[in-house]
Amino acid sequence: MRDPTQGGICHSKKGLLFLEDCGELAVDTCSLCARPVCAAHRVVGPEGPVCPECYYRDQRDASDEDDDTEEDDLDADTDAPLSYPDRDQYYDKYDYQPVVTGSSHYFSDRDYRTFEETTEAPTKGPAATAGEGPEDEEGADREERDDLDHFLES
Amino acid sequence: MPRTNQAIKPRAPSPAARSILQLKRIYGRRPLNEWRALLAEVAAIDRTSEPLVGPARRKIFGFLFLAAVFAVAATFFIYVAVLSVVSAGMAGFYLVRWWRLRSTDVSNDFRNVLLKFLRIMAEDIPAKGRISMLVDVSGPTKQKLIAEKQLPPGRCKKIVEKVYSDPWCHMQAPLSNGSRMLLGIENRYTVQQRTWTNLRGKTKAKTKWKKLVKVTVGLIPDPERLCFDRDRVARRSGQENLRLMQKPRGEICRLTRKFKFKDRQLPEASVSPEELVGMFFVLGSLLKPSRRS
Repeated sequence: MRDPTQGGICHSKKGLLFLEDCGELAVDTCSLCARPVCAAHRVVGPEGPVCPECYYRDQRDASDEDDDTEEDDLDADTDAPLSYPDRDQYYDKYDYQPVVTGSSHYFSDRDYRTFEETTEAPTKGPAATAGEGPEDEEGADREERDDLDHFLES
Repeated sequence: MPRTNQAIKPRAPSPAARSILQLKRIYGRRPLNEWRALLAEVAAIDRTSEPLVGPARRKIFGFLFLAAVFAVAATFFIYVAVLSVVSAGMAGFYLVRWWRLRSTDVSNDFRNVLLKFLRIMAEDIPAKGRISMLVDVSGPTKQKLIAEKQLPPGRCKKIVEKVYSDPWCHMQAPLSNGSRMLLGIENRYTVQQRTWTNLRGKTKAKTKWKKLVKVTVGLIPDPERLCFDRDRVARRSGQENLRLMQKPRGEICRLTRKFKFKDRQLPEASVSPEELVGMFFVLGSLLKPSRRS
């Protein structure tokens, strides 16, 4: 039997500056683009369960004629993450194409930079690997503080 | 089931929040959710106390005025002296109240800018990643006065200019793709106090505030995945205050912008969190993949 969640990982994108796969456990698939989605990224629309990308793209297309841009509600008291339409508004406002990382092969009109040409990776200096393990916590703390100081001083 | 009033009882501030309110600054490395909870708690206290400071101050002067009036009246009717004492006592009560409210009143920039910015960037910062942050919420205090001079008076009798430097936010946060973001915000306040004499011979005074917000954002990409496109950086640096630097932990691109605000009082307005996001977008648009995974 075919697994509707295609391996059980949510392929919805999260983030703002950089987009990446959600990676949570998938519970359903989008009825429009067939990407697996987790409970947090499942939106129940008129066509059934859909991913936020498809849902808000439909909403946007439908409301294009009205052209009512709602004020962004950035109430600091709420713990809710930035919603998909908020993200879209930021990208439109600043004409930004986010860098997309992840293995998902579901692309949208925001993913052009996924296909940018690559260059050779720069040689990683000895200090670049420092602070990756929990044992380097103190070192990382000191280096981060140094970085911050240099950044602000310069 | 017995009814309790626990739900409506105001919660005492946590030790960390109390520490911020006392010291008016905090430095530490905490996960995003802890920072947001802590700053939201301080913001809630500030939001509650802020509107009460003004009325408490007005009541001090009101009761002092009444005490003076009753003291004069007491020279004719001795029993009115009691009212004068009561008024003076009420003025003292409101003075203590005002003093306490003032101690919990902090600069609003952290809740108008930083807290909202952290909410916007919440999905980019890993839940377990620790954010280094130094936040100073004291605003322009005497300790931050960097220059005080008398300007040539011109038509005025006297012009005193004071400059305060308030670097209130330094932040470094890891991002979920291995990169790191840096943010520094410095407020520079210039206040001019002008004194002049009008045609009737009265001495008048006027204060003008200028607030210059200098925002510096930086991005250190994970060299395994991303690097800055030098051509794009060179093109963009013609339009913006942009600098690409090589550091021991990788290359860092820094962007600085300045925002000006003017008011007759201490300007409440500041840079919007959306502007900060826009600045990070500028740096993000200069990146290119260093190796295809």
